[in-house]
Amino acid sequence: MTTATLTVEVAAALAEIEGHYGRRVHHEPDGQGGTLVMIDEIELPPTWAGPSAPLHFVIPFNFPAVAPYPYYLPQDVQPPAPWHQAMQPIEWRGMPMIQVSLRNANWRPAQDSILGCLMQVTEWLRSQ
Amino acid sequence: MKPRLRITGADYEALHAHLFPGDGDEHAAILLAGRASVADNPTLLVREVHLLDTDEFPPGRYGYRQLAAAALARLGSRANDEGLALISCHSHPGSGDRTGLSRDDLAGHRRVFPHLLDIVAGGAPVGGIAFGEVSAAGEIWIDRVHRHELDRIDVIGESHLRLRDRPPADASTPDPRFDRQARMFGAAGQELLADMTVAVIGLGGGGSIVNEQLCHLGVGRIIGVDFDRVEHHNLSRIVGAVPRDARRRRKKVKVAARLARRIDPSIGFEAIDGDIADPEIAELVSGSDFIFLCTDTISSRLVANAIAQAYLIPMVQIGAKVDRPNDRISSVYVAVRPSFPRHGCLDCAGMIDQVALQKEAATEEERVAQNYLNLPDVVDPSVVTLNGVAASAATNLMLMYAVGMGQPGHLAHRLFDARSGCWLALEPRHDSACLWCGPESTSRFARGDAAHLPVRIGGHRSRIRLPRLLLRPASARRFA
Repeated sequence: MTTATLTVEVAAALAEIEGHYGRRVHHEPDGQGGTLVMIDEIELPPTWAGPSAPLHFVIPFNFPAVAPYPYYLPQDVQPPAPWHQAMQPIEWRGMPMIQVSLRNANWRPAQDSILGCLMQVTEWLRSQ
Repeated sequence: MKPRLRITGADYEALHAHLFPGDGDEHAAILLAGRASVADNPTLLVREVHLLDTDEFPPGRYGYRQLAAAALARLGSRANDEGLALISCHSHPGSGDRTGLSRDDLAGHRRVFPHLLDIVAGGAPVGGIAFGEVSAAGEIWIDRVHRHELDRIDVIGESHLRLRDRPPADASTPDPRFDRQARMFGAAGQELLADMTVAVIGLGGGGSIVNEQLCHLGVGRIIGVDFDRVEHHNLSRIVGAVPRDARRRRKKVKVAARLARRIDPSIGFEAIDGDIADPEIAELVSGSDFIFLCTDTISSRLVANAIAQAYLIPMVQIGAKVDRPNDRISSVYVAVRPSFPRHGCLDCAGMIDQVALQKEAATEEERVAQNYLNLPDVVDPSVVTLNGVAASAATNLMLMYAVGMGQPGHLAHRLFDARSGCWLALEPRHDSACLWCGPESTSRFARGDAAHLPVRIGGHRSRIRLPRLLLRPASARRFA
């Protein structure tokens, strides 16, 4: 049913992300079978305070039944004001972050992939 | 070791119609099945039914008919790809409630099964079953050495049907306390209840009443699961709870166990202090014959529904809801939702909400951050009469199923409008892309122990310390 620290499904999703983003992917098991993921150097639009930022999210232990939500960026990337309503500042697990509340409303766990989710988020960020 | 096989009512109906078309001839099919281990008894869970035409079941060199090598190779290869067991089936027309494997059948198994075991590989067993009109006999080969007689087939449909190689011995006269109810469903029905293991997930307002009724009915073993404690506001609803339980904050499972013992000291009540999303508890529940889901979390709904579909275990979820927007009551209703294998899956019915699951999985800090409107947490109303309606309807559904009295339509999802007294039946929906009950290769349907249930590892959430963010990216340092 599970590997030592990650469920089989979470480990497979992580491998899929690593297959695409390579060494930019870092993760930290959450103790429940899921994992906190950080993908470094996600490209941002030129109007933001920096050219790229790490994107954080959790692959929950019950993935793929539950898709990752929400996503987080460090607050110092400062998107131009006014922020889109899907973004808000919060403190998340000890760090000041921007919560990006993008939800895949049509998530089909038997068919969709985690990479598809991430593509949607990164494209949305580039469009801001 | 007593191997068993479970099949949905719809699959059995299709199989039976194919095997007994009325021509008096033998016909064949191949079943591909997932596997579960229940109390050391392997249980095969039929995931695919392949009906063979007469070309694939031609007259045999050794027996009357034999399975064509091409069919065995094709479906053996599919079993291998899918990690499923392969069971060949054929009919014995004219044998009604008694049947057995013939000498030719057994000789055929000895010739073919060693090769089939090589084809299916991965430790998957193979087997052969001969069906009579209302009976079945077979053998399962775990490997080349370990062969076991099939104990029984359980058909999980509107009514439970159990097939064996012969009719059961006459049931003994039931205990006098069951006399009145046994007059409705017979001594045999009473024995079926005594033979059942029923899981009750959540022992609050609804679950405590279900538990009480199961004890009165004479169910043999109950697995009660709850991690919560009795509080004063529970005393208006939890059957069996007294003020002292609230003062001592006694575990709800202990109250349920005490009530069970008082009703029937001989009952096997297993009190499980925990959450169904814990893997050990999910595994325990997956060995039951029926599941009542009486919790109010979507994550428990997700896991219980997954178990029902992956292990072919009938389940019913109950709940009560009082809608009161702006503090004005708009509706008061009770829901009774059976989730039987490929019939009434809660995910297909839209009852497993992604947003609610994500909210339940979030930390308190995240929940606050995600509650954009800053609404205070609302305490929902809860009334014992509503719990009672839901619990009785659900337990009655289980009873009709278990003793073979369920009629077409009784597995519809139902809503009871408590103010008008009307019941509304909803036709179950089926999503062909469903992760739990769909036909796609990724679906967990009938996968059994290979289903990867959506459970957490590392124990109950309350015992998990979520990590603070330690990952510091190079880009974050740049911004610092």
